[in-house]
Amino acid sequence: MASTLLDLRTFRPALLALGLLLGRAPGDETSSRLLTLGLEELGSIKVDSVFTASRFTEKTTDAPASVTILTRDEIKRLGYRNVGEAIRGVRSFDVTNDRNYTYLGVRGFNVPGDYGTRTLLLLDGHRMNDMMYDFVAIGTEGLLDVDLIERIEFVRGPWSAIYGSNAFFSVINIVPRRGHDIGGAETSASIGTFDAYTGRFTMGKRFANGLDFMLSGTTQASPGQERLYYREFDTPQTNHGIARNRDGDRASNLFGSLRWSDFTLQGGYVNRNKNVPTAPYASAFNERFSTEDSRGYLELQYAHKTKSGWTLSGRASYDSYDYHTLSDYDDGAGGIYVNNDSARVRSWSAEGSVSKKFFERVRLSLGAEYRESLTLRQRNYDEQPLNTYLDASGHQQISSIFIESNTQLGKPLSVLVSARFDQYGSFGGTLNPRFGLISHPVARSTVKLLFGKAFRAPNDYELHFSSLTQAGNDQLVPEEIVTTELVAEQFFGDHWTGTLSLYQNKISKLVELQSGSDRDVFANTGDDRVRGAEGEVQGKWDNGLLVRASYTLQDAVSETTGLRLNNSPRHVARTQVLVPVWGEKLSAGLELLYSSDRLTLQRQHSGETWLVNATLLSRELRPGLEVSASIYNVLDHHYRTPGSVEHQQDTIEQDGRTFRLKLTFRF
Amino acid sequence: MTPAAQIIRRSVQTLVAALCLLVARPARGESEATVKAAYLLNFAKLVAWPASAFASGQPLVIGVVGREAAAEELARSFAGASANGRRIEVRHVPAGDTSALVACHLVFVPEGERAESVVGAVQGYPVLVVGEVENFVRRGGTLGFVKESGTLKFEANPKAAARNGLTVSAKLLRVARSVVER
Repeated sequence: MASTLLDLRTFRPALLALGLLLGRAPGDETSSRLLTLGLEELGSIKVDSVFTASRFTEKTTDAPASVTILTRDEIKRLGYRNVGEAIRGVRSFDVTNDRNYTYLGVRGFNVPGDYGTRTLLLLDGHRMNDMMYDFVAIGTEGLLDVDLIERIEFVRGPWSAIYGSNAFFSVINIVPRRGHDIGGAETSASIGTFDAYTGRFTMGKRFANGLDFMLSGTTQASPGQERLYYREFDTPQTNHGIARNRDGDRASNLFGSLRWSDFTLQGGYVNRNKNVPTAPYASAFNERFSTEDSRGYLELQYAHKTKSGWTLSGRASYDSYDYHTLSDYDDGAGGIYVNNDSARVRSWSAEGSVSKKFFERVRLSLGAEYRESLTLRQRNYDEQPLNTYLDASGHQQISSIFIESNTQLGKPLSVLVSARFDQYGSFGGTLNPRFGLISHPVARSTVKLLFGKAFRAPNDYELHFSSLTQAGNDQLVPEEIVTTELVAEQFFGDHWTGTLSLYQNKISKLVELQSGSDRDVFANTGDDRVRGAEGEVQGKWDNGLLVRASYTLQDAVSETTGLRLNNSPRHVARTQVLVPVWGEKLSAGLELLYSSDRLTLQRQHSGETWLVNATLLSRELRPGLEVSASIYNVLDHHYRTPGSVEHQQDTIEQDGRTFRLKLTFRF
Repeated sequence: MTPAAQIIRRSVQTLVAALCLLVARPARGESEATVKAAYLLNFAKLVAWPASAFASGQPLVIGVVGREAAAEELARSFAGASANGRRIEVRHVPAGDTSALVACHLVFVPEGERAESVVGAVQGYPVLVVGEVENFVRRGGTLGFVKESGTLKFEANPKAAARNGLTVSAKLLRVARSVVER
């Protein structure tokens, strides 16, 4: 019997398979197609590389972090309507919405009411978190139209060692398209469920002398859901819990850039008005509660490579953010009085860095940054009778220096060390280091061992806000995180990549609202711990077929209480499939997003989430025309996400099935 | 043979076949290696070597300096392609081996390898030097890859080519992101 098994004939099919594979021209269709391309075409092919992880452009496998890149092509083919929807599809990230703002969480941490403050959002390297709330705007309140995105770089892990505050759980960098990428003019219009429409006009061009310009404007509006029912308000006095025509959303934004030689001038502005149907902050139900957010910036960048190999870069910018809420309150006598809550933020910043590679093995970079507020004003008052609760002006100035090094030790091993010191006018200094070890133990595999500390400085809102129910605390110190992460990446065959990541986040001195004797007060109280494992496989083919699937197991607990964190699903799965149905002409995109149950503030269960989104995209059906049709939440799954402290509702119901039809024309 | 033995035998066959399939999957470089290979093909077509550089029927020899893995990766990417009717042969060349370097038509200097020593070693010989080290063309290389917003572009130094008796076509210079003369 044993001899039969070892008979050479036994292996005949196997040897046949081996012979077939070895005999076939390696590389196959993919590379042979590339090999026939001319120079101009080659120059437009994207090679996967990332800028955000360390300030040098590098290959994703060489980046000292777990990195995901989402391209313009994927955004289009999956029919994402805003940045938040694009982020929601990416492993490690969690996006929720309470019909006012869109909130961002990372790796099991998305405490209700956190305005995305523990992620640093960059727009082409420019810091978008404002100086008052550290707010990360990714919904309709976001500054950049999703159509203007060239790619989004997601860099997981603590990055205060390079970027300072807010680079706590991750850094997201949105890279906009340039004039060259537009090459003329583009106009786009869409209509969708709840009478949602958008319109965009973009022009851009690179001239023969090298000048590249781009200018784009978008306007969008939707009255939202006509009728929303909240059982928490189901009384005859409050319209039986029905909020009617209280969900409107209106936004306009403008973005432009001008590039010439080593200089880039870039800026943008967004204004959004949102009606909020949930009656937060104990305001009157089915009455006015509207928020207005305006964010703008202008930045001059300089980047130059000298003949001797030095890279010099600098940027100077001016930022603005205005927030204003008008809300109606019940005066207890059948009347209404109006409350105004507002903030005005103006700040400027400057930054410079030099870097050079020494002996072909050591890359060193040194930099400094200065940020200062010009205006930091918060006001809260009632109109008629005038009653001012808050009128505070703060000031913040931050001076920082950072150093970064990447040393190649032998062929398969590199060591990365970076550190940054930030000196704050308010609480003093903080030093944050980061270490990374990257090795390629066998061909086409990468192992990364990463360790780092990061911080988030208390913002002006936490330091100085004051109302009848809530008080700031000027004694706050930065919250801190220490992260350890092991990442393994492996290429399989021609098309597949696998990633496995194990991490632990230890958070201390978290700034939280603590119940006080008369008012809730911000305090450095929380100690949390998150452990997780993430696995992802991706298959990518040259004809445009793409398959991506990931699963995350995460365990987030408060070390102070031993309890599971709110709004933190234990299991998360994401799948995206992009199929070229008819070459470039028709592509189908399917997305499946699953999250297991989340705990609410009242320690109830919000239930699991099953979301299926589908998009059909047709390109070049007629020259310059692009049509896309999407169905979101195809299964019409009625799901809820936890509310925050300002809500009477413990969970907030999300939209069911919605549609969108979009036309883009290039000329 | 008993049915049980047959089942075992079938299972072993299948398993071994599957294993071989996994092991034998040809490992292709990431797209970046292929894009570079495609560029090198274009370069080979758009640079003129003196007739004396090729013996009759000789393949175009591309030498890759430094890591052996880089040479293998590139060799795989070429997938039996040819340039101007010449077969392409990829060799791994140690950086210090001058005689091996000058036996190539094109020498590729990958990231992390010293540019100057290679440029110096082949000066005066009909060898096209392509690299990806920063400022490669400013260090005497003829063609250097540069990354620009996620794409791969190149810079050119026609003077360096001329020093080695090569002529860079106008088309190549036109597409180059920048042309340096030094």
